[in-house]
Amino acid sequence: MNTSKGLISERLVEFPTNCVGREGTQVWLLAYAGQVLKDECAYVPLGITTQLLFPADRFIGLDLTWEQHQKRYTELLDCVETDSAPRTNHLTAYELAAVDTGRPYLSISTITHPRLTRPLMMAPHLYGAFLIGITPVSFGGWHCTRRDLTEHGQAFYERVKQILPSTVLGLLTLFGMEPLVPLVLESDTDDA
Amino acid sequence: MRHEDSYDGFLNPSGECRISDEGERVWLFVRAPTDSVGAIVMEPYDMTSTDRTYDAECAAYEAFLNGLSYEEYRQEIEGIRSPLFVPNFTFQSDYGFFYEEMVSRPVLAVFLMGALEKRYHERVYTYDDLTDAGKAFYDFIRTLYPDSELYLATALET
Repeated sequence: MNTSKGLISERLVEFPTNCVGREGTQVWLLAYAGQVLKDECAYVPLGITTQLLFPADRFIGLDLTWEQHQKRYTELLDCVETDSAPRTNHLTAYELAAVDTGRPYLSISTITHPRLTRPLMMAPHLYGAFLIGITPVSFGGWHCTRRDLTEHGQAFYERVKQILPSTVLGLLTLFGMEPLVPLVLESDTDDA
Repeated sequence: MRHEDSYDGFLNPSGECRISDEGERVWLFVRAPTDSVGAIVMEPYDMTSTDRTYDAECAAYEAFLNGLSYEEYRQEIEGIRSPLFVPNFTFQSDYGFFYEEMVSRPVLAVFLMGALEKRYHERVYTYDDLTDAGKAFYDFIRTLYPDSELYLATALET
C-alpha cells in the first residue's frame, strides 16, 4: 500500500504490500553533517545543523545502523534467556539495542516532553530532514533502505546528497502517522 | 560544482560588500498543511526573521520605536511568526525548564540552504537571493509538497 496522505506529490518510497497492522509508518530522509559524525570536534560553522526528536517507542530502524542494531538486539534477547538480562527502567531491549549501536547517528536525548513518558531519541548533526513517505499501515519489522526508494526517490536522494559538503544520508523509519512529538501550545498549558 | 569545504550551498549573496563579520545561515522550512503530521524542530538559533514575515516584523519594530511597549511588541512578533513558530512548551530540559527558542509547528521538511561566514544582507534571504540551482531545488520542493507553505529563515552567527 502506498499513500502519502496527499502531502507528497511524488511517490518516493515503495512500501511493502504485506501490511500487518494499522499503526502507520513514516520514512524520513536525514541529511547528516558528515564532518561532525567523523569527529565531533571538527570545525563546522556554528548553527548549521539541527536535530530531530521522537519517542524511543516510535523507532523502527535507521538504515545506517540496522545490521548492528539487529545483532545487538539478538544479543540482548539471548541475555534475557540466560537470565543475565541487562535491565533498564527506561528502554526496551529493542530500544536499548538501537541506542547501543546508534552513535553517532542516534542517541538518547536529555530533552524531555511534558506529555510523553517515554525517552526521546535524537538524530543529531543534521543539515536537514525530509518526510519522504507516510502510510496508515505498518509492516512488522520492515525498515526503509535505498532499495525501497522509487526512481523518483533515488533521484531525490542523490540530489540532496550533493548540496552540502560531506553529507551522509540516512533513512529513518518510524511507527505512526502523527507528528514525531505532540506540539504543546501555551494555551494547552496550566499557565495559560 | 561546489568546493568541498563550501557551505554556501544555494546562496547567492549580491556582489555588494559584506556588512559585517557575522555569519549567515538560511534554512528552508516546509510547513505541513495540518498540525497532524510532521516534525517539530527548534527555531534556528539567533533567527532574524523569515522571508514571509520580515515586512510585518519590520512594521512592528517601527511601531515599537514609536512607542509600542516591549510587551506589546513581543506579542506582535509572536503573532506574526505564529503560522510557523510558536513559543516553546514542547521541549523541556531534564531540569524541567523550557528552552527559550521558539519551536516550529509541524514541518514536512527542514533543510540548510547554505551558510556564509560573512553577512551580506541587511534584510533576510528570499527566493531571489538563491542561485539558479537553489531556485530549482526550492521549486522542486514546492512541487513535492504541494499543499505546504515554504519559508526561508535567516539566522545570524553572532
